[in-house]
Amino acid sequence: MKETDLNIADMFSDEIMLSDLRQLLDEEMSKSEKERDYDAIKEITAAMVELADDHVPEPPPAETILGKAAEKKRQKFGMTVRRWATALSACFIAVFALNCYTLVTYGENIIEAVLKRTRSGFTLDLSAEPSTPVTTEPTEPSNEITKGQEMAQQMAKVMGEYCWKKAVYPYLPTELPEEMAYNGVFELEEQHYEALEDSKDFSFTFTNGEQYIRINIEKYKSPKNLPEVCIPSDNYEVADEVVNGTHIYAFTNGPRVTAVFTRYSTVYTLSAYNISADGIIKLAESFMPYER
Amino acid sequence: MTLIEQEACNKIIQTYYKEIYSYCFVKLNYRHHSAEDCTQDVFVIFFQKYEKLDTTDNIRLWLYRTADNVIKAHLRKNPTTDVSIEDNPEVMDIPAESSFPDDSADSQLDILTDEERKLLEAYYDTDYGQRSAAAKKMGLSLAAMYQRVHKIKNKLRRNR
Repeated sequence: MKETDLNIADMFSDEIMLSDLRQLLDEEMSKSEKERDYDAIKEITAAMVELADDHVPEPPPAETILGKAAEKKRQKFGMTVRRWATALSACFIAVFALNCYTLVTYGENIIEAVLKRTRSGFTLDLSAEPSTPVTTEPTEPSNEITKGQEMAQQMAKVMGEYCWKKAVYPYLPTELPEEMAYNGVFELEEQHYEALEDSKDFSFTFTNGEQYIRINIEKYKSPKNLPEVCIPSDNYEVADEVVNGTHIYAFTNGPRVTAVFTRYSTVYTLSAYNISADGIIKLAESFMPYER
Repeated sequence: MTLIEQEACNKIIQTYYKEIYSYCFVKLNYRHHSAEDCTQDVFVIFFQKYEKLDTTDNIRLWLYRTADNVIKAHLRKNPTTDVSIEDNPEVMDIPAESSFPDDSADSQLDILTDEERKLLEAYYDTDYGQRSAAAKKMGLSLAAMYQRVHKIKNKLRRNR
């Protein structure tokens, strides 16, 4: 056999043919999916398999493929369940840790802490107020009675008679500030009583036509039952006076003003319209035990 | 899955398995076992999501897309080093310029039919760009022409 005989077959390089076909395949695959000729791709790859002297194995039975698919589905489901369980556990632990922290730091659970802190404003813990007895400097008795005292006495009488019927003996106003006393007679517009589980609540509304004042009296069973009072302060100016050891808080929002203070286990809330913060604080300062 | 659905699945496998295997084989640099594994994975994924597919979805396109993803994942886990065609010793042995064997080689080429000789001539005397045209002239695709050249080559080898 001639030497050339041995070389002829080798001159037709499979590598070159494979390279050509590869180039052809790449050209086809570089087109968009819509433009690709999958029949041509099928033909090219089949030719390449033959050129590489490979054979296509027998396809496995459908049951084998389906069994593996079902197994993978189960694994995926299990993984999803495990991931959710891990995430939920982590959340639970985080919330639990946060709850412990807020309980230790603020004395309340996380929900209460978040709610309180997301509200603008602050709270008054009236139970923390030292309800010290009011002591006043003894003054010399005066025979003259001011307009403010006179009007306050009238208001106090109306309020007192109503409260005594319910066996509640609150502090009552003894003097109205000048801005209230010389602006017309305050007449009772409304009075209301409600007995709650831990308190007896009274509400009195007086008005002189231009100004009005509502006096709420909440008598609690004990100082321990005194609530915290949430005061929104976004638009409120706050004044804080200490009178005879007791804080009087006054909040102004435009023409409206509110004062809050306690005496022993009773909370007094004075809400007024067209009265200044100074005026309402003076009114609050005048509340004394009423002598029947 | 019902029997009817199982038969439908079997039909899909029978229809597309060879095609997808060939595609994977080429894309994975002619590695038989890798291609076999990837092809199986393609059909496993297909039947995992089979129920979610719309009846109007193009199954063939879906299979090719899945094959691409499976191949990518496989190559990420099993990177390969491609051998450049220029470094291939087989290619280097081929003379840079040579012509189709002359009549002195007739003794081997005698076993070929006229058509086979023409095909070899067309292949040998042209380069890539011209071969496509030559194949077209003979009513063949380039891939079909190469398959025939390969068969002829094997025939020559058997008859050395």
